[in-house]
Amino acid sequence: MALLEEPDFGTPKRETEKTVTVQINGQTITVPEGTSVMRAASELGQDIPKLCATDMLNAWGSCRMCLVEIEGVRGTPASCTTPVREGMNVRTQTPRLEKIRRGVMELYISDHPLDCLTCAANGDCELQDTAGEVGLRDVRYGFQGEKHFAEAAEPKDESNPYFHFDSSKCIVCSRCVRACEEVQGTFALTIQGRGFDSKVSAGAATDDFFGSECVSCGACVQACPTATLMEKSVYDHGVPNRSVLTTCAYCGVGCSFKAEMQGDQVVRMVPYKDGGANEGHSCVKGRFAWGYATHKDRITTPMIRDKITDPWRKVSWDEAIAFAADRFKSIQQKYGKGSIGGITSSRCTNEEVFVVQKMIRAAFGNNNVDTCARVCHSPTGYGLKTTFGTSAGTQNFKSVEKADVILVIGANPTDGHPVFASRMKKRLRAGAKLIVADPRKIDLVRSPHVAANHHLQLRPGTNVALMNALAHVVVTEGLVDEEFVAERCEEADFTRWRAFVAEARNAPEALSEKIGVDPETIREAARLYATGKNAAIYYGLGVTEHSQGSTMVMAMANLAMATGNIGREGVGVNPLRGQNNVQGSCDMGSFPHELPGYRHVADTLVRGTFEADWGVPLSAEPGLRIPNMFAAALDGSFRGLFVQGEDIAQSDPNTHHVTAALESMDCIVVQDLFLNETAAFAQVFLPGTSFLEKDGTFTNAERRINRVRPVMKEQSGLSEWEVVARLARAMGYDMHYNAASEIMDEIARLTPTFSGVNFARLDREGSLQWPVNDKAPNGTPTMHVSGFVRGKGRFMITEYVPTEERTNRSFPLILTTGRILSQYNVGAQTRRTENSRWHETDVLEIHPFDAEERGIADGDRVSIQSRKGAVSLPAQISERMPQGVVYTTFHHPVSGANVITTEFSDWATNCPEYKVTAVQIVRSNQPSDWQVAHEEIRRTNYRTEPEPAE
Amino acid sequence: MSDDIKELIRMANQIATFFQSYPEEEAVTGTAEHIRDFWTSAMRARLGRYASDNGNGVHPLVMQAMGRLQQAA
Amino acid sequence: MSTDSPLNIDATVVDICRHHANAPAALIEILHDLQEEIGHVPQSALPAIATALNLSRAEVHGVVSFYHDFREKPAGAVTVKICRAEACQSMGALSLIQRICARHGVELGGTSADGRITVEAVYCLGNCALSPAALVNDKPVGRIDEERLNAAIRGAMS
Ligand code: SF4
Ligand code: SF4
Ligand code: SF4
Ligand code: FES
Ligand code: FES
Repeated sequence: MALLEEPDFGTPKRETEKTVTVQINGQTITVPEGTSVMRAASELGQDIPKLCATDMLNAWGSCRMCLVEIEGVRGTPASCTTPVREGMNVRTQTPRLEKIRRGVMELYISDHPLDCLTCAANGDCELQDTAGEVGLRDVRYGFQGEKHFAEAAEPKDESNPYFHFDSSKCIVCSRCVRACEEVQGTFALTIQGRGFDSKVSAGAATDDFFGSECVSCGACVQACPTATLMEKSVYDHGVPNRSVLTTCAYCGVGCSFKAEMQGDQVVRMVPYKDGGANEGHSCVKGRFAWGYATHKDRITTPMIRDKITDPWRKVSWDEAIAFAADRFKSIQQKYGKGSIGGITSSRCTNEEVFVVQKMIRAAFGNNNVDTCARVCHSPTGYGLKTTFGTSAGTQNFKSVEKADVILVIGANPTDGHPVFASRMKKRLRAGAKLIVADPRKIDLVRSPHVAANHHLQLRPGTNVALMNALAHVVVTEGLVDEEFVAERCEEADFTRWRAFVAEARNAPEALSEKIGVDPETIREAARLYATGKNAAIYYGLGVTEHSQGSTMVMAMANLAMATGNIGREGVGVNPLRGQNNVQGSCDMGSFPHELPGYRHVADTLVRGTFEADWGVPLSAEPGLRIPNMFAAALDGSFRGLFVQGEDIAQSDPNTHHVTAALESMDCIVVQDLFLNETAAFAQVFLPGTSFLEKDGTFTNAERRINRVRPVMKEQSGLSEWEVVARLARAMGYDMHYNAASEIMDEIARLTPTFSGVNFARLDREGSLQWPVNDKAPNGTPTMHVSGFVRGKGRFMITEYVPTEERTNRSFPLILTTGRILSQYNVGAQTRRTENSRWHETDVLEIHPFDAEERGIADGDRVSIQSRKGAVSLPAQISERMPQGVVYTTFHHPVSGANVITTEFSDWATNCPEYKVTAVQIVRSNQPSDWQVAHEEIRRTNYRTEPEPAE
Repeated sequence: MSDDIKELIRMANQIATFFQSYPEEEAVTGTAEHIRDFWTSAMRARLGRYASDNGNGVHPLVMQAMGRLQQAA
Repeated sequence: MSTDSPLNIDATVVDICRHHANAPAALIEILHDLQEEIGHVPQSALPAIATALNLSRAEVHGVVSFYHDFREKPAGAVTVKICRAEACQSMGALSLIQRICARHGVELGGTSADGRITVEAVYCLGNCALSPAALVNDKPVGRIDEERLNAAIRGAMS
C-alpha cells in the first residue's frame, strides 16, 4: 500500500440524529447539526485551507486561515468555528478570501525558517502544503522574523527519547497543547507568555519535555502541523513512503496503527483514526516502543541442546523440529499420552494460538493445554460465564462516552490501558462521576481535571466484602431495578441473593473494619452507583488475582444486574485485559477443559464436529492446568512442555516451585523472540516472530477482532503457525495450512460465535466484535441487549472468605503488585527500548509511616521477605500507599517478585493470588540469595556454542 | 501426607467453601460438577482414593461430592 | 527573606489556596495573594499550586507567564516603573528607560545583581500631563529626566 493519508476534516464529527442542509460553492450537503462549515466543505471534497484546526480537536479559531464568505453574513467568519445553519450558502474561494489568506500566510512565513528542503518534515508539513494551497509567492515583510536568526532560536529540546521539539519552527497554533488536553488528558503543555513572545512550553519554565508531566503518548507530535514536534525516527530516516495497517501488540486495548515504512524498515507507527479501539490515539508503548522487534538480543535461528547446562547449538529448522518431536514422542511412549502438554500465549495471534491447542489436542492426543491467561483473567471467564453466559466483557470502549457513573475496581487504566484511560478521562471531564476502589491512590483518584468522587481505599483481599456491602445498601435502601430483575433474571437465584446480601453481617457497618473503609462512604458510593443513571464497572487484575477472584467477578455481575446496568450503552461489566490477545487466546480454546468457543471437552456433539474436521478422535477428559502441570512435573508424571511466547519462569507465582518443576522435565520447547527466563530450562528454542512479522488477528478487551499485518518478513524465516504445523506433522498428525487466513476459516467453521469472520471481511470492514454470526451479522458492540446469552441472568451467592494468606507479627505488611505505563508485563519487549528511561528498575513503594518505623529512607535497598522467599529492591516512600500495604511492579526479571508470591489461588480457576502476600520489609544492602543464584543461572544456562570460525 | 494430596484437598475445600452458601443438595452438586468439569481424571482419582481411605481434613461437601462422582464413574 | 525557603513557600501556597477553596477558577487571585505575601511568584511555587488546584504545572505556568504583573524573582529594594505609552514615549521615555537601566546595570523588567533596584515598563499611569512619568516605590514622579528620576531613586534607597 502506498502511504495512507487519512483525510482531515478539520473539526470532529458530530453525533446527533438532527441534520442540516447547506450549500457550499453551489453544491448541497446534509450533515449532522453542529457540524462546522469547514467539515461540511471537506466532506464535499472542498477542503478549506487551515492551520490551527484538525479533526481530532475542537475548533480553536486562531489562525484566520480558514475564512469563508456566507451569504447574508458580514465579514469573513472562520469556517472552523462556524457551525452550519439550515439553508446557509457558503463560498470558500473568492478573490477577497484568496487575498486575505495569502496575507495571513505571509505573516506566518515571514517568521518561519525557510529551510524546507532540509527540514525533517519536508513532504509531511501542513504549513508547506497550505502555503502552496493559498498560492503564496512573495513575502512582503521580508524574512526578518526573529526565528530566522539561529542565535535567537532556542536549542531543540531533545530530552524525550522519541521526539524532539524545535521551537524555531513553531507557528503557535496550539494544536499540541489542545491534543495533550483533549485527546490525551494530561495537560502537560501550555502556551507560555503572550503576543509575539508566546511559545509552547512543556511543564513549567524549568522543565524540558522529559522532566514535564508528559507521558510521551505522541498525540501532540501527531497534531503538530510543522516539524516543531517530530519523531526522531523521521528526522533520522526521512519521511515514510508506504503504510501497513496493523494492531499494537502491547495491551488489551488493541490500538490500530499505520506502520509507516521505507522498504522493510519501520519509520514510525502512527495511530489510525478509523481504529475502533483507539480512534486515532496511542500510548508510548504502541507509538514508540517497537524497536525491540529488531533488537540485537533477538534469536532468529533454532537452537537445541541435550541438557540445560549445555551451551545452545544453532541448528536448522528441520533438525530442531525433529529433535523436539523425537523427545516428545519418546516421553509419551515411556510415560503415556498425558505426559506432555503446552501453554499458549496471549501475545500471539488467534491463528497461532489455535494451531497450538490443535496440535496438543490432535497431535499430542490430550487436553493438556493452558494459557498464560490462567494467571490473569481466568476468573473473568468463569465469573461472567456463570452469571451472564459469556466469558467476555459486555461493552465496547466507546460505551464509556455514555457512562454517567464509572466504577473502577482493581485497575489502573492510566498505566495499564492508557488509551482507554484517555477516553475515560474525557468522559470524566465532561461530568461523569467516578468511584475508585483500590488500595493505592492511583492517578485516577486525583490528577489534573479528574478527581474521584469516592476513593474506597480498601485493604487488599477484601474485594468481595466490599461488593457485598455495596449490594447490601442497594437491596436494603430500595435501589434495586425491580423491573429489570423481574424481566431479565432468574427469580429464585435473585430472591436467594437478595436475602443473603440483606443480612446484617453484610452491612457496610459490619464489614467496614475488615474493608478499611468508612461505612458512610460505602453507602454513598453504592447510592451513586445505583442511582446515577448509566453506571459502568471497569476492572482489572486487582479483581481477578485473588483467592476469591471468580467470586468477585460474580459479585460485580450481581451488582450490575440488580441495578439494571447491563445491556445498553454506557453500562456493563468490563474487564480491562492485560496482554494484547488475552481475550482471543481464551476464545481459541486454550483452556484444558474447553474447545474453541468455550465449549466443554466432554460435550460429545461439539467434540464430534472437531473430530470430524480434524480427522482424529479427541479426548473427552479435561487436561492439566498450569499449576497442575507443575505439580505433575514434580511427581514425575508430566515431562514435556511446549511453551509459546510466554515466560512462565518469570510470570508465574512461587518461582522456587516453578523452577524446580521446569528443571525436572525432560523436554521443554520454547517458542519466543528472546532467550527468556523459561529458556534457561529449555532444550529446544524455536525463534518466534514479532508482531511486525505476523499475519493474523488479535482480539481485544472489547471482543474486537483486529487484523495484524506483516510489515517485514519473518526474521527467522518461518511463521509461528508454520513451525507448529511442522512440529505437529513430525509428531505424526497431518496439519497443513497455506496461509493464516485458512486458519481463521477453520476457526469460523468450528466456532459459532466466529462464523461470520474471515480475513477478506476484516480487510474490508476494519474490525468485527464477536459474536459475528447469523444472529449478529455485523458483530456485537454491546452484549446482552435483549436477553442474556445464558437466557436469564443468574445471581450467585458471594460469601466473603478471607484469604489464607494472613499477616502476623513476622509478616505484618501486605504486598500487592501492579504495573506502570512505560513497561509491559515481564518487560521482555519494553526493557529493550528507550522506554526503560522512565522505569529503570522496579521499586518497592511504602507508606512514610511504615518506612520510618523501619528506619528506611527513600532509595534505600530493602529486603522483602515472605513465607516463600526474599528479594531485594530499592524503596520508594510514597503517599499513594495506605499504611500497612506495600507495592511493587514486576517488569524486571532480577526483581523476582514471584520469588515471594504464594501458591494460593482462585478457588474456581486457580488464578494465582498475586495481589496479597504477607511480607516483612527490612533494610538490607545486598541482593537476596535468589537474586545471586539467578545471576548464576543466567551465566551458565544461556551460553551458545561459539560460532565455527569461517 | 504428601504435598500433592494436600494441594488437592486445599483446592477441593476451597471449591466447597464457595458452594456451602447453597442448600446442601445444590452445594454437593455444584462441588461435584466443578471437580468433574475442571479436574483431570488422575486428580479426581487421587482425591477420591484419599477421601474413601480416610478423608482427614476434607470438607464434608467434598466427601459427598467425591462419593457421587465415584458412583457416576 | 525567611519565607523564601521552599518549604515555607509550599506552606504559604497551601494556605492561600485553601483560603480560595482550592478552586481552579481562583488561580489568578491566588497568584496575586502569593505575590502580595512573598513579593513574587517563583517557579518553585508552581507544583504546589498545581497540586492544590488539581491542575497541571504547565497550566499554572501558562497563566503566570501570561500576565506581566507576576514577578518570578523578588523585586529589588526599589522598584521603578517607567511609563512607555504614547504620551510619555513622545517625550523621550524610551531612551530614558535605556539610560536608567544602563546606569544601574539592570535589564528592563529585571533586578540588579545586588538586588537593590528593579526597573519595569508600564503603560500609561494616567499622569500624561506630567509626562514622562514614573513610579518609584509606587510614588509618582512626573516630568522626569535621568537626573530627576535618579534623585528619586537615591531618595528611596536611603
Ligand atoms: S506526548 Fe502526549 S503527554 Fe506528552 S506532551 Fe505530547 S500529548 Fe502531552
Ligand atoms: S509545536 Fe506544533 S502544534 Fe504546537 S503550537 Fe507549535 S506548530 Fe502548533
Ligand atoms: S494502549 Fe495498549 S494497544 Fe494502545 S498503543 Fe498503548 S499498549 Fe498499544
Ligand atoms: S483553521 Fe480556522 S482559524 Fe485556524
Ligand atoms: S502615557 Fe505615560 S502616563 Fe499616560
